[in-house]
Amino acid sequence: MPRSPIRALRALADTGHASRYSSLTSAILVLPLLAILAIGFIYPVTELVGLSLSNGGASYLRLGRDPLYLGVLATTMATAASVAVSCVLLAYPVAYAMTRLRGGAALLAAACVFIPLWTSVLIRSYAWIVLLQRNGIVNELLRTTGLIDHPLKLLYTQGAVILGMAHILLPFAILPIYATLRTLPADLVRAAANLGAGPLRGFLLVTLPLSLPGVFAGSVLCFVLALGFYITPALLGGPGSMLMATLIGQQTVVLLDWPLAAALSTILLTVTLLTVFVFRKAISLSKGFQSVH
Amino acid sequence: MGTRSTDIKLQVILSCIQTLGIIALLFFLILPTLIIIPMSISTTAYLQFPPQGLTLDWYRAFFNDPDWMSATWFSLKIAFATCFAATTVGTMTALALVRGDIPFKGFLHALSLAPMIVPHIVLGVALYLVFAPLDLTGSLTGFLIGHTVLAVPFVVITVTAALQRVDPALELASLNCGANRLQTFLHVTLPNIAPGIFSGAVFAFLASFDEATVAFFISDVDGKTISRKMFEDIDFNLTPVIAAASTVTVVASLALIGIAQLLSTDKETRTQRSECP
Amino acid sequence: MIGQSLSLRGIRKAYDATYAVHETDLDIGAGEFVSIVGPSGSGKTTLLTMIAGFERPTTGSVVVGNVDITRLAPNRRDIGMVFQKYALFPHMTVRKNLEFPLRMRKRPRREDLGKRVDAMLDMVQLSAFAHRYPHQLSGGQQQRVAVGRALVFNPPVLLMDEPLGALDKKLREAMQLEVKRLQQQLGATVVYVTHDQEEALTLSDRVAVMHKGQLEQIGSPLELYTEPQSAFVADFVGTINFIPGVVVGYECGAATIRIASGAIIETATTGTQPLPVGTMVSIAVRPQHIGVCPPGASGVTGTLENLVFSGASRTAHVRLTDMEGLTLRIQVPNELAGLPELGGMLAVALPSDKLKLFHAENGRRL
Repeated sequence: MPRSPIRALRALADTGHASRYSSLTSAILVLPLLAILAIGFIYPVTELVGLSLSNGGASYLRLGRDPLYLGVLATTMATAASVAVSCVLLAYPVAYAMTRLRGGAALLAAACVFIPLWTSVLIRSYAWIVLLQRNGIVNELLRTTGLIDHPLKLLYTQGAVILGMAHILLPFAILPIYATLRTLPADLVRAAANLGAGPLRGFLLVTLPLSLPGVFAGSVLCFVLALGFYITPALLGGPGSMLMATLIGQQTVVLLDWPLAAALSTILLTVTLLTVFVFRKAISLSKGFQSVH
Repeated sequence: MGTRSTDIKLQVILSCIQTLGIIALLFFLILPTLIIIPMSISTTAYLQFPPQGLTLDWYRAFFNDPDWMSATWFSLKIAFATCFAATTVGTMTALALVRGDIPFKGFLHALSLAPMIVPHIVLGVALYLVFAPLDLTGSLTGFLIGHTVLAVPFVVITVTAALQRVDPALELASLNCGANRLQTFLHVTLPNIAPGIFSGAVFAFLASFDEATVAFFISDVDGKTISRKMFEDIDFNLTPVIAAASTVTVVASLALIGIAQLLSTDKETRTQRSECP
Repeated sequence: MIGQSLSLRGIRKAYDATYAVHETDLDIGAGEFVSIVGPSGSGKTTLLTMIAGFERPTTGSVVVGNVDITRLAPNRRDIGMVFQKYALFPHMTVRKNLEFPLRMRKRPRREDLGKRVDAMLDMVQLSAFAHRYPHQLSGGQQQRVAVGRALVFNPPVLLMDEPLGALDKKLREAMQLEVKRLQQQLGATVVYVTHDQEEALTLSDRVAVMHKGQLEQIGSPLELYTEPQSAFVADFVGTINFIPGVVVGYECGAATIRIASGAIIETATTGTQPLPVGTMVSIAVRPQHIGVCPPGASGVTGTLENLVFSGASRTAHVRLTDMEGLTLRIQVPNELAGLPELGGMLAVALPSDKLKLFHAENGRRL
């Protein structure tokens, strides 16, 4: 038993093994993290949750009574789900191709995946406005090819929101799928071929089932990130395509109904954290992700 | 023989379709980032094909507009401060998580990454709620706090990965050579995780500079970031100056990332090769 | 450099409730080369890390020369160590790697430092590679850098943790000679951990066999081979056959054993205590000590299952009759004629003075 304070300190500084830092050093090392999270994350979020519960939870009662709000929650979930599904469907071929490409083509493909990832969400959403607006490129292209006579209303629709979010989240689906595909031993496919499976059956019976963890990780990640998206739906969506995030934005910026916004935020936070908790294994598998907005 | 040649023909057609599909998907990925470039140098306010004429007016407008410039400088200041704070905090956290002896390691790791998963709008609203009465909205301090929370996970991820690639035996060897803990960290651990720290710092910088949601809520009239300014302009008057500002931002970001990649791949090949003689 | 003695006194290491190393005493003389062998998880590496100071023993002490270093930090111990995968600093050249321990100790002075490093580079034959980085070297060269770095500051004791494990067989044999040469040239005290018993027998003055955290036996290679004190050591050092049986009689250092087939085998024992009738035992016998003869000549018979040519001799695999599939490996001279066809019957002769008896449960020599 350590008797003096110096001995007590020395006991703390003594590690089980020299390859590890002592408990004291480790505690000092995590202290700044805990401080910044306490000030800039935990305290504000606690305040927000507290505000949502003021007036004895009257805000939640209002939310529960009005089907409009439940509708927005349902739309948010549905939108996030369609974004996740579109992402995975588009991501798989890209990820598969990336494992096959060599040299310059591989570099080019990687650039196409990573450059958008490092471009701000705001700029990419802006680009979609440019592409989709009434006299934007897409409408121009459709008109010159003679497919349409009058420009279509593409912007400020639910479709534009899903397209923009799917485009922005696509790399987050590609990377985990690519990571699992890359670790599959090439011998497995060769063994399948050797045992008589053609390329298609080899893919369907060997490659695809083994890459499902990556597919799952990618879709969960896209779903979770899509739940809380604000910038893209705020810019590309219209009044008919209200999501949780844009509703919170509207309540705070336009209507200044803070308790209601706090309640909506708390619900969005809870749904997100629950999803993350339930699928935590899948998410921890998607170590490939580097940048989230 | 006949079926065989049709088989081969079919395969060629199929692989052509596959290749075209992949090219289309890659084009879809990169298109919105590239489209801003012709937009920013086109004379017309709306992008047209073929572009009517080329001009650098929008860039001139961007660099001469005091609003844009003050927003850009404010963003740069925030990003540099955030980069420094997040890199320090994140590196310390990663050291404790990988090499440390602490309880609840899994929980701490999850906590350090949580700001990545939590919807940014929730954090933005929460920070506004706390900052407004303290007069921290639109201030460097306020942004530094909010953006450091958001940027720390990037540093934790890259430095944790870098540390896990460093064989703990290297540190034992250093101790065995007579170096104390601090010398071991400075002479052995730090040089080997430096590329990871550096790319973490770059990601932290970009995470702050490109951040739009939290910035939307905690900016105010006197203190707004470039992304908040861009958001306002997109909403109210969609001018090609936005495209010019975006192009400048994207090119600068990609240059930064490119440098980071070059530096880290150079170091990585060295350590990787030494791992498997 | 002059090696110093190293003593481990009552050293133990416990993790939570389980022991990685049970109470162990080990005295190594100055300039002695001692190997610690054992399967993975036997505690040999833990023993080494306690000497190096990376882990504190739960109880007991580590003494180098006359100095107790048990509570000394690893960076103050002055013990040289060659790591399993060398642990060369990848961001430093060969020269910088060798300079590192000298710089950290701030001795010798600047001008001597260069000379010392040059001399060591010369000794490990790497003078031409001083400015290369570790990844630019072959496995054998990396190994020599590791040895050089561990020796450059003249440590009184050199620890080597499976230093040759990463090399292929040919290079390993060459490096064994090299290590031995350096050790003799410098008079270093070396503690060498390996799981390769052959390597240990080749290099060492004495070999310590670890098993389940316990030091089973320490002795010269010959002692371990001829007089193993436990069934584990007998099995670990060289090839040996075990035949289970039960004691049915004992008289003045000679035991009568009945094996499962019913055959009776006479053996000599080492102990002075009488062996109680009914003790379960293992009879151990080396392949070269078993004779083969036509069936009928002895009570123990078997079927010739396989005959493997191995250079100087052949190894016969003989499945014993009524022994639940027990197969003996018997060394047969190449020139021996009169072996039956594969599948044929033969009798085996077990000379009582070559048999060793071990307790079936605790493995102790009887």
